[in-house]
Amino acid sequence: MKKTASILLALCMPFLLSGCWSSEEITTLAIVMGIGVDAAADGEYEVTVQIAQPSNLKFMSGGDNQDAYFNASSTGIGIQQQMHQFETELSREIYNGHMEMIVIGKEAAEGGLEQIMDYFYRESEARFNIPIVIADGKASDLLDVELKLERLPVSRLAGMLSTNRVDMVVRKITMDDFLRNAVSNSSATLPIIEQLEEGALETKGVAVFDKYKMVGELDQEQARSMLILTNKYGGGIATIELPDNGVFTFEITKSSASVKPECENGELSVNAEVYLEFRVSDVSEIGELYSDEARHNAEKMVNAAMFERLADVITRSRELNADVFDFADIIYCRYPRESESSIKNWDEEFRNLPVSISVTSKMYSSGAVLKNIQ
Amino acid sequence: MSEKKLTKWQFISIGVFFMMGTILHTSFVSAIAGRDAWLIPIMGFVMFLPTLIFCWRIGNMFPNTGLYEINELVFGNIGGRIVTFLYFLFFLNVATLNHVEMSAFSATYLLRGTPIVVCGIMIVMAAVYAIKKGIITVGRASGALVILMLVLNAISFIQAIPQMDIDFTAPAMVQSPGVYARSSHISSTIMYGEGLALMVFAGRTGKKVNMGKSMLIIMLIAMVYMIQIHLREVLLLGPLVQFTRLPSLEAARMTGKSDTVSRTESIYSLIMLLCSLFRVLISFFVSLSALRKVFRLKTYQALVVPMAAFIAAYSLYALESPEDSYFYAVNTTPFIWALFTFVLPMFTLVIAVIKRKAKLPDRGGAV
Amino acid sequence: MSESVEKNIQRMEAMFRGDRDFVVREFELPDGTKAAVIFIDGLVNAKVISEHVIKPLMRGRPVNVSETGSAFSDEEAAKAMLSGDTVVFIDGIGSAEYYNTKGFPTRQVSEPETETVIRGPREGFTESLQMNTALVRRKLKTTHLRMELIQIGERSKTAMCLCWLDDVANPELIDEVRRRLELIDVDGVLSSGYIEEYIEDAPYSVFQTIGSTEKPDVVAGKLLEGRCALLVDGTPFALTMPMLFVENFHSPEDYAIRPYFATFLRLIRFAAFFVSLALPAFYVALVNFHQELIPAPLLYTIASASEGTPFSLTVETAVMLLTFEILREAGVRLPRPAGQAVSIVGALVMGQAAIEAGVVGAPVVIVIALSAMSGFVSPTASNAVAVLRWLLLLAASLTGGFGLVMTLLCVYLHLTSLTSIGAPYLHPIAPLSPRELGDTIVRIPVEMMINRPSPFHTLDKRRKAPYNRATFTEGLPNEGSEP
Repeated sequence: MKKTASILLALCMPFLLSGCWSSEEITTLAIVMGIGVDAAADGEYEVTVQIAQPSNLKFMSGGDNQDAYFNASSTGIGIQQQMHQFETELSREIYNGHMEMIVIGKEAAEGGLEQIMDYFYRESEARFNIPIVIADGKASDLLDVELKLERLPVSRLAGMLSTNRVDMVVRKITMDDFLRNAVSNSSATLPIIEQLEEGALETKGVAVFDKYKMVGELDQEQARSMLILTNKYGGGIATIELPDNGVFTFEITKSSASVKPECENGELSVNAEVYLEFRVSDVSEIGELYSDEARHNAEKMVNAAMFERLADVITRSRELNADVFDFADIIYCRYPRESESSIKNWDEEFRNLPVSISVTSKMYSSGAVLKNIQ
Repeated sequence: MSEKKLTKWQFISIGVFFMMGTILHTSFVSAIAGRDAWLIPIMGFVMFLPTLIFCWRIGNMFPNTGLYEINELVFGNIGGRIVTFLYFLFFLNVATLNHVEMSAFSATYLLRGTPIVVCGIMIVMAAVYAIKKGIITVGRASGALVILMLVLNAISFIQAIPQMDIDFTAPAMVQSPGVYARSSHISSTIMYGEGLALMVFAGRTGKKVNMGKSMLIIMLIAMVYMIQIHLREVLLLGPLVQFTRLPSLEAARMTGKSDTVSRTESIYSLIMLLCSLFRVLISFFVSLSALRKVFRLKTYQALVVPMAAFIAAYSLYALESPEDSYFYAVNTTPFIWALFTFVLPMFTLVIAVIKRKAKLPDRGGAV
Repeated sequence: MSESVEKNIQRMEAMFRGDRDFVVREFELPDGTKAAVIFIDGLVNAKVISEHVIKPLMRGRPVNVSETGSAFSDEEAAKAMLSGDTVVFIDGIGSAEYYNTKGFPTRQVSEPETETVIRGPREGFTESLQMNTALVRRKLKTTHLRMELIQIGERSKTAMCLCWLDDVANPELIDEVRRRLELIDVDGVLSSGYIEEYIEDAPYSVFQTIGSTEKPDVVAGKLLEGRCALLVDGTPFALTMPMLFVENFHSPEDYAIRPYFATFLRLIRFAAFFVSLALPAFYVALVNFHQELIPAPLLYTIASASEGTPFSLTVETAVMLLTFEILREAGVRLPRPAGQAVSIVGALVMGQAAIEAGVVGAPVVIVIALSAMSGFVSPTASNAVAVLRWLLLLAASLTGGFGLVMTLLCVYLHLTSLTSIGAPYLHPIAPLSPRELGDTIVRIPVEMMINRPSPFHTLDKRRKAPYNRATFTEGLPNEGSEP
């Protein structure tokens, strides 16, 4: 009995005497809600962290003027280093477990994201499904935007990307989405958010990456077309300019694309068939829409316009030499053997890949109106 | 008045629980096979069939006899003890490697600041407590626990379905044959092969237990389980599955919406903890049991604590660092393990069959 | 014993050395023979003595008391007297007769305070063994109900009655229990709790492996399942053995209410057990080690609550838990009039004031309160829980969720290894017996409860014939058809 007791005591010693290593009182943590990375001089990074002030964030907290967060910045070579710097400054431990967003400045993106991604990938606290955005400008500015309804800037940014919105031209890309693309032959894209005057935020399109380096941008229309081609477009409002300076606005309610690879005599090509369903929102001059003929006209117009835009985005991606449509994977899945050599050289092969597109659209209803109100 | 023997279902529960401990080893296969990782358990099972046949035949020849007793019956007194000692070395290494994996997992993901030593000590402390209670108790306890683990596993799988992308599995079966051969070899020796430890318990089972049938059931359940785990990883992580150290946990962390039904990785960590603990525990137990048989000790109770300390210490020095366990496991371990999970059992079977035939020449080949 | 009355009286007086309640009444039989009646005042019913013992003897008639016996030695006479019998010495006869004139004060049969039911019998045991055995007999009017009298205790000579149904209970079980009882060699047995510790399989475990109950219907129910019961004189608590862990979560009226509702209640009790056991530890583990598992809004609340407090979370939780245990114990010991004040003072004033002063954070108080309340759902298990809570809290505060899981596993293994007079304690959870889960975790309708629990190895496996609902409705007129 005595022996057992003494053995047990000896075993308990390491726990009791040296304190608990990983136990961290919650008051010793700095809860990081978002991170911004900007490029600084000499290849260094300026890291901004947005840290939450819990007492002002909880349910029944004080007035509106109290900040629920504060930003801290530091410049240095690696990200890990900056984190340690923050810990010294704030005398609290950096805690990434609840991070909600990563914002990267455009310059930093153009310089290459390997180091940043590697930091997040290796550390086990932050999750993989955090969205990443590119800031048109400096990330630290974006982390300081004016707050309207939310309590934290990152909440506002994350809210912009929420995929519940009906009208979206950019899609929320999470870290693992980005990494998946970066390690394969497809190009990753990240949404760009721009801060206009008066504190308004706007998504400006997407940034296109070649592995980890940003090589270009796609504007709003091109971003939408890209989403349509990759079958990820949920719907939204588009406009067509009519020849007589009129405007035809329609709402795409459903969009599906079937992209099929083909291989004839060793020649690889991709055939994309896009099917759209739309609804007319407002129209300036198109005649009466309830007749079959008018409907066909409308559909033809939409077909033509969308075809142009899709062709435009493909041209642009060829310019940038970035396969944002995952064609590499699609071809490889279907013709693994035939495409093996092309895939190895995808950087060049992509430019020469023949792509054929066909667009069919169907108009479903012209709203609640039978005849135009004119 | 209470039963001192394991019933069939208790044995199967222990077996399934033991096999579920492979959850920490998924990276061994995933890193090589990538998106075809989910096919590997099937191929591994096929490669494991010879050992399964060994279990079946030997089980029929020597009903209700544990592996170590079979060794003595087949190889004689001295020979049997030598073979048992070989098994002892094997199971000791199995226990140690599993222990390293589990300590590394705990120290990296669960208790971040704690040194690995402490995690290791805690694991062996829990194992010691369980062994002191006896294998019958553990067998009794495992029934409900296994059901709980399987239910939690199903929940976390179903909950991940909305985020799964079936395209990640395509194209299937287009990699070089070497990839498949290598990964199924790893699977058959490490994942399934360590299951040979269950044969040791054959001596503790009640009358109605058919060893071969039970092992088959256990291995089939294990196969389905492993397929499901790999599927989940591949469908959630895609090409990233080859880069992460614990793909199943990373996959779990990705699932769940960010509001209330999030953080389901806690359920998953629970499964991982308990299943891998069980693996350590059982392999620890069978190595103790082997020592007892070799040295003809009356009881192993006195050896439990020293052996536990040894495993905890050995696990720190056996590999340079826990990261090494991956390289070691992928390159060296399968071949060493194959000696014990394939060569030795086959050898035992052959000798046993020859002996049987020599004893009963008039019965021909029937055993 | 001598033939002389006076000598006997002298010897008895010497034995009792002038005790105040030792009464001797000498008289003469009609034929002049000296006789004497000795009894202990207070243990006897004086009216019976004067009417039915002394009066007939004085008139030359035989004593007409229902029970009688002979005493051949002083010790036997003393033993009889101490039990409330009256000893009669007659000059010329070398032995004494004693008659049952028991009349000591006992409590009336009343509702037990520890096991209250809403719908079900409200009789409870009293301190008199006679009354208790009668109460049990009334529930099981079968000749197979055995009641064996045993006496334990050197100085207390406490009588107890071992009951079982000899066509249901396994004889091995009874032999084993009897054997253990006979091995008890102790000074005094003042309550059934003493016996419990002597005959338990695992006296050092925090979990009770022998059941205790105050209600005769519960005892009868357990006897019908093949268990045995021990009624102890002087205690209203009867012991039932073997006991299974799941019995902590059963209440006698589970069978008196609807099956689904009873199932719901049982599940709640199980859940409450876990909450009570693990919630404080779980909370500490989450907040100190695994913050990523807490949803963000809750995290902010907890963080801001912890900002102001001076102590670390572990200390806060431990102090609150300790405070609660003190309050609970005080509430039990205080006289009833003051009880209300304690709850108001304790709960409202102390808790609220502590939070507002910033000594503890609100979430901690909530967690402890929840845990405490859940503990009361199952009073028998709450003793074990109250101790284990601390162990789990220690494990969680040192090693977080990892340690908590390991410790819970060890607790589970400990429970699995316990046996109650040979029956596995966690049956039917471990070893898993799916068929029997129906009457333990949930409460299946009575028509499905066919077999008696298997770990008791009863002689008669079935409770009753299977009940076919169709035969019940046969022959009854259907609604809407011609009468």
